[in-house]
Amino acid sequence: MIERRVLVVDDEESVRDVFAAIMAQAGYQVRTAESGEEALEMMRQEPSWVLFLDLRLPGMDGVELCRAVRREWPLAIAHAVTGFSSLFELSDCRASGFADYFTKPVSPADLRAAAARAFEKIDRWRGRSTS
Amino acid sequence: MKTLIADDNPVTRSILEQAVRAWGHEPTSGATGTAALYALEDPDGPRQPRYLILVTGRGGSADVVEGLEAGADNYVSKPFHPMELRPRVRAGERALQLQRELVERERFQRALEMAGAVCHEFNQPLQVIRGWTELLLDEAGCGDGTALRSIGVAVEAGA
Repeated sequence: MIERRVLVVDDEESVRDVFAAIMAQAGYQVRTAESGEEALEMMRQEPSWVLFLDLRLPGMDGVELCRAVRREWPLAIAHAVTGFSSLFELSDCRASGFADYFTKPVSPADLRAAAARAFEKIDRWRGRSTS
Repeated sequence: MKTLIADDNPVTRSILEQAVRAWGHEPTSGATGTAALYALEDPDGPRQPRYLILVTGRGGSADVVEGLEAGADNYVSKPFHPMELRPRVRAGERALQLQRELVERERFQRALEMAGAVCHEFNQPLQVIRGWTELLLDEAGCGDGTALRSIGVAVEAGA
């Protein structure tokens, strides 16, 4: 079983705090970053396999960050979390490799279910590759 | 479509007016460019998109080039049959339609972006409220002062 590390990226501290609490309560090891650049730095030190990314970030935005993550860590599963949804955004998200897309305010239960599903997939993929 | 005809020859003006009217447009004409422009629109008003067809009499290609360089979109050389003008007027209609659509799309895009920014402002604090509230309801040990204080701050930001 892969380490249950989750990375939350949002430029607003209050949102990072609540997402971190939601993930910690479900037993995940959570880290948070306030920008795409900081997130990539953290990933390089120690990768998190499941990510929740805000789409509007200062500097590199969520879509660019997702592309960069998927390039360096193809196994990682990223979810988009956005304060505003539009159809254009959704197609951009799918194209950049997001597994799923949530509109704020998202329920903690949905976030936890997404994380659980993502880890289940990664374990299955890894199980197949090592056996 | 509003059509402006500027020609110093009254016979040419009349022929062009008739042709343009027969194609379903509203012609306005003048003997000079300035007179025609004043007849068509308020010179101090917003500039409308235009499609300009040069009607050249002297036949020299230097004139045509100069006219096109100065901003004309198309041209016909005299003498010409009004039917030669018709496809050019249609091209103008298409170009103007595309310009209008573009302006409309840009306006829509701006409105969408503004709505997005407003939604974002509301949804950030709502996310904090929803997250902490549901965690508290789960009674899973997050009910310390931090959670309640965060809810208060978020409500204030959303108000």
